[in-house]
Amino acid sequence: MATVEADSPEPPPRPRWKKDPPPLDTPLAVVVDNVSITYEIFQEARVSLRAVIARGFRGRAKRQIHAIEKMSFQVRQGESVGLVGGNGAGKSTMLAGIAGLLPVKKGAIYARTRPTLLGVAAALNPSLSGRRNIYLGGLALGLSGPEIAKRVDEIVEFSGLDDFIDLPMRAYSSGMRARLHFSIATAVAPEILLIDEALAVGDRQFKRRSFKRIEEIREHAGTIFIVSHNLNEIRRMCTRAIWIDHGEMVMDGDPEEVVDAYERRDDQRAIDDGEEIPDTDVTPATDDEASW
Amino acid sequence: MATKRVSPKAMRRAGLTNVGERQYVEEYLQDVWNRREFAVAVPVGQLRAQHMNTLLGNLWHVLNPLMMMGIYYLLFGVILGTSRGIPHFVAFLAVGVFTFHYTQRSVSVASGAVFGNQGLIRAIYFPRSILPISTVIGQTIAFLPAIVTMLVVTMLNGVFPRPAWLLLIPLFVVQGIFNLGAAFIVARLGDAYQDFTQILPHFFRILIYMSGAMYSVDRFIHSTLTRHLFELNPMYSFISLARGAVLGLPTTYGEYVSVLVWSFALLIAGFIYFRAGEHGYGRG
Repeated sequence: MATVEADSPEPPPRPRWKKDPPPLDTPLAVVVDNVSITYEIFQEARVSLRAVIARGFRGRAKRQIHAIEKMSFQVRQGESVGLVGGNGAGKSTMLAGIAGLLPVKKGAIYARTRPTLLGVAAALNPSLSGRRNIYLGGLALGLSGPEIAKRVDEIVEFSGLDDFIDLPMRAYSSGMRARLHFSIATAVAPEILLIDEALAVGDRQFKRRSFKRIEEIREHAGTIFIVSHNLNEIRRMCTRAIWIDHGEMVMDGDPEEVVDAYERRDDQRAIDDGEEIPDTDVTPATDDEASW
Repeated sequence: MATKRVSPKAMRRAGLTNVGERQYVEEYLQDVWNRREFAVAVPVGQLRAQHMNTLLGNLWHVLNPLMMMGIYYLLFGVILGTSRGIPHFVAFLAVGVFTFHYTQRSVSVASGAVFGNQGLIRAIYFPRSILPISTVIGQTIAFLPAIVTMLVVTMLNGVFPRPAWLLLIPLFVVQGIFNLGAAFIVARLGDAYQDFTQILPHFFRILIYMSGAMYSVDRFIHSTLTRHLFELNPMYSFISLARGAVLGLPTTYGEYVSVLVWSFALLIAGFIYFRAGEHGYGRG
């Protein structure tokens, strides 16, 4: 258990959550089967009338961006998978594909239940109070009014917003807002949760609580995908990591090994480019979450 | 890294479903129904937010058509003199303008329902039909106080309330269905071609002139053929039927047929058209 590790008298330099991968006979949660996802920048449906007229309705120029190329992997219940890679590598596209928000060009993505992207922000209305937004966000995620009513106190408590909950959301600091988003999005404990760069939010205390909640979800046979540039986060929270580069899988395996390999390659590239590498980790080890 | 391709059948046996699979209509409609609270909560939240963000708040939903009416009264009633021969011209104008306004607002706002909600579409899975549906729900809620205003104006103009006013209820329900059908179509068009939202105001400008909202079209009607041509315009028919209910002006069977056929045909056609684009929304 995580708490046991955290309380042990001789803590390892980087305390971890329990992160043994689930046994091999655990049922599958997500199967990504030979998937390609392509963006068509000048696709037919989005071309402007002006361009159509200019080109005389002939030969629509389509520029295809292969965001994901022939990706295949299978994830079991109880796994938490970190996706690492540079900007534009296709990590977020992969998540959107798993959530069923982006159509795949080739292949197929199967899931046990519809995966939920941790991104309730777009459904909320900043002019309304936090409390009303809990309802709005909950309804957007597919909860019913009574189901939300049952959870609303718990959500308020988890968010730690106290009195602020009845103020319009526009009065919140960005950290407070992010806390509310996280609290709403994880209130249902979705079976398959997709997290895109949302973890580094809130103060230390909230970060700790949110990590704990994610761990709880995973322990209840939930499956988690995390996209993060905070590699320590991936090391600490994931049972598995997948390294994506230019839409293709480079490596899939133990998070320590994958992240190390990714960092080494990254450093090597920088050296090749003649950059000076600071001898410390790129991710500062002194940042606040490193201490727990 | 490539693994052997899995068969959809094996996946189904293992309890996994394809996340990108197109749903059957019944499943889709069930999904829409399951999100009905969401479809209402979004526009109610927006109306509430609007109310708090503007000085006069939701009064604008009444003030807007009133001001529009005032301008038309000046232009048509006073300057051009179309009020001649029309008893209770102010009431005549009020019913025409407010009825037209209901459709104009619903359709104009719906043209941005998909394009303006890309963030939501990219973050949360829900049947996208919810977007135009909640637009029309919101505009219908905003229309309710406008109906009251319309009737108050009518009474101030010396028209006594009559039981036939109750006919407005089924009439506006049918108009709401018409608006929803149109909303489906413009929501998809407005997403595919942003230029479309530039054309809409001009389209409605022409349409309001052709629908006789501020003058009586009677003098243009010389034969049954010209009458039927006017009846083909659903907005003319909605306005004419509303005037029939409020002011007791004559209505025709053709107008009833027109609004009913238009509304239900547009709803079905609009839904099919909108849903055919479902997977492409939010990609732009």
